[in-house]
Amino acid sequence: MTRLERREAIAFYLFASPWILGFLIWTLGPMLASLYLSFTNYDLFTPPQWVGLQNYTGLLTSDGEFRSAMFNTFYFVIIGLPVNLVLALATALLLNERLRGITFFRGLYYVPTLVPAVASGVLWISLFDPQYGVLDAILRVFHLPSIDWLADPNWIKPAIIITLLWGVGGGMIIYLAGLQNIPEQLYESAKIDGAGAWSRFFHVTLPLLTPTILFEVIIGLIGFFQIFDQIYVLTYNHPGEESITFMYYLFQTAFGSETNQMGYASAQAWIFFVIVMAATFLVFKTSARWVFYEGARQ
Amino acid sequence: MKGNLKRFVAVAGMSVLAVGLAACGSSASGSSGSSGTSNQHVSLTYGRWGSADEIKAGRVLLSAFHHASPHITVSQQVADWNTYWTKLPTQLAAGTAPDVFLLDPGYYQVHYAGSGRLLSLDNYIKQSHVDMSQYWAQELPSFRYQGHYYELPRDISLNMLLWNKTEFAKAGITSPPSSWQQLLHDAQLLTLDSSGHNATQPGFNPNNIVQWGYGSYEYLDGIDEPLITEMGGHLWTQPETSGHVKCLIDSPTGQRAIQFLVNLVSKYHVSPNPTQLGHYQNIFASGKVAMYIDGTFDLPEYYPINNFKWDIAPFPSWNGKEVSMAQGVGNAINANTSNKAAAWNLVKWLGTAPGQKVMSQHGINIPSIRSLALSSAFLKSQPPGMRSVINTIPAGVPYLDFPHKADAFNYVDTVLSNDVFSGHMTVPAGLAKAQSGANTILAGGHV
Repeated sequence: MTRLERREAIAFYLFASPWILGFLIWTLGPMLASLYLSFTNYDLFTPPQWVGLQNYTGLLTSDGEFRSAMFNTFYFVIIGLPVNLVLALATALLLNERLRGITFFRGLYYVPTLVPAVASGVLWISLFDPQYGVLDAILRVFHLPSIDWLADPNWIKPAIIITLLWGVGGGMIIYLAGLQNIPEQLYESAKIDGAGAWSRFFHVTLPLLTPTILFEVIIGLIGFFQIFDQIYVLTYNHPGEESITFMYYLFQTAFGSETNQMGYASAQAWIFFVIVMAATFLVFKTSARWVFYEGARQ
Repeated sequence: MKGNLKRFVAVAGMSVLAVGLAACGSSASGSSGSSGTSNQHVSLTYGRWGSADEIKAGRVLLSAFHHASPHITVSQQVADWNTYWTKLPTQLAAGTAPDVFLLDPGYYQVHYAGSGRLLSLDNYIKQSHVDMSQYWAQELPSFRYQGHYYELPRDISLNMLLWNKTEFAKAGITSPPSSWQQLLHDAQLLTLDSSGHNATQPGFNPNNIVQWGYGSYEYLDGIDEPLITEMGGHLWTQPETSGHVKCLIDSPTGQRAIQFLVNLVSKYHVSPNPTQLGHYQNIFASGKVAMYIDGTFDLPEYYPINNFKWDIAPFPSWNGKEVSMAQGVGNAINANTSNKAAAWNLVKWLGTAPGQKVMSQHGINIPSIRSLALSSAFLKSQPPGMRSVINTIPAGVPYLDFPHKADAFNYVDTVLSNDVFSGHMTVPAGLAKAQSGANTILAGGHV
């Protein structure tokens, strides 16, 4: 290493040090502590007691609420996320049209993502009301029976997915940026070759948008695995087995229980971490097959 | 417990704000100086939950204390009920908890006192000659853990029946019901459909009710438990200090009590269902139900009512048996405070005549000192029925804490509210689920 290289390396680490230190102290440290705590019983008040794998075996074999939380979380990821991704893309495609006043509509669709989850949750409670709610008025127009969305165990999960659609504005903005990066001449040459709107979408837009889709899938995956606020608000902080999620159960175990079961909650966090990591890894691993990087093949 | 579903939405916003403020604020406990000698200035932090009215009155109370003990300044740290129990343990673990804080001994004493987080008050009580016989005897057992006092009582709360005098007069009823059977009968006369028929008349349409006689909802220790006790049963196996407590919600008496309360909604149609109840921030104040049961600690919520006359009456009896649940909260001292003497000064002042007199003038909490609760200074600030409600205290049953009680309680309460009162499960199925889950939790397991 030459002197210049060494100086550059030192400068690099110095500049990166705020992040590195922050990561080591505020993220890695607590993570290792929680890994240790996951093998203990710890109630905040008395010193942790080593219990080996007991928390993990308990969670995986004899905890019905944990199973419900796992099932519900996967339900949201498997059903809610694709619906969300498709709707965000569809909205972005519509808002990518060059029309007068389109920027106003782009803003309009983005605004809901700025509303705090608690505020929009309270709003949704009234929209879902089986007697006075807007959704009920729509059902009545089609002579459909009214639905007690939030109280009926069969409808609470669809109801939560509907509230999450409010957040499509966030994904829409990213898709919109991706769409605007697609060179105009590709569409022109496709048109000249006789491609219709559908085939332009499937053969030009979609392939060139795959890097954006990959980003959205990963961010969405992590976000949907961590659903919490909506559950907290829409169930009045009392979710039943049909609405409890992973993150809520973790919070409940650590902070909502009388004896603050930090060890048990840490074990949940680690199981959760492994699942989210595995899901993200899987998406990355398969992305080589379906993500098309324009620059990479030139 | 004082957690109440219907107010959740209102406090949710506030708690987000509170969490935000707590996160922004410094976490100093405010304990400066290590001795409590009278000429040295001491700052204390006092932690509490409470409604806006209670917090305002609390500020006045603390400034009166400062006036009496000028060398001690107390700052109040407040949170709503749910946030309070999330925040306090983490503060205690981090060493940043208030020096003195409010505690609900019926649900949290075993965990807090049992792990050494609270200062035993026995010696202080003895040295300061605090007369424990001045308090309501029915609530004192709650404040003892393994025979030692860990809090000095602040107040006593009772369950009361709110009744709409204007609607009662319209229906030709002159007094509130004293029994559950009478309550059902009156509620039928007070439930009206859109064509003006009451629930006893032919042609009454239960699908188009405009006003209900009673608001039945899940309130485990405020309604279910006292009713079960009146019927001769118990919610928990006795004695609750045995160390091996089990839940009895699925006992024949438990089934009978819950079925009766659910029938008020589904069979007799004299009460709105939980979703209909949820439309109202305060359904009794809205005039939609003519009777409602609540804890006396919630009375300030009803004072703004000005479009009808109302009063309070004792919790109804069952076959002549009257039970009132005596729920008191008290002030505890953080075992790690660096100002034990000053902290005791504050706890003593709040729990004895000087502080209790100031508190009784605000009329928000019923004083724990008997003579003050019965004094005209306190009663004149209360609805006329308060004296009859206080007169039920001798029939009081204390709330006693035992390991995992709060968690088992919350589980049963959630099942009853989500599954049983909503009608998604039959009463027997819901109670079986609630009881087996509660017993798993009480045994230290997870459901």
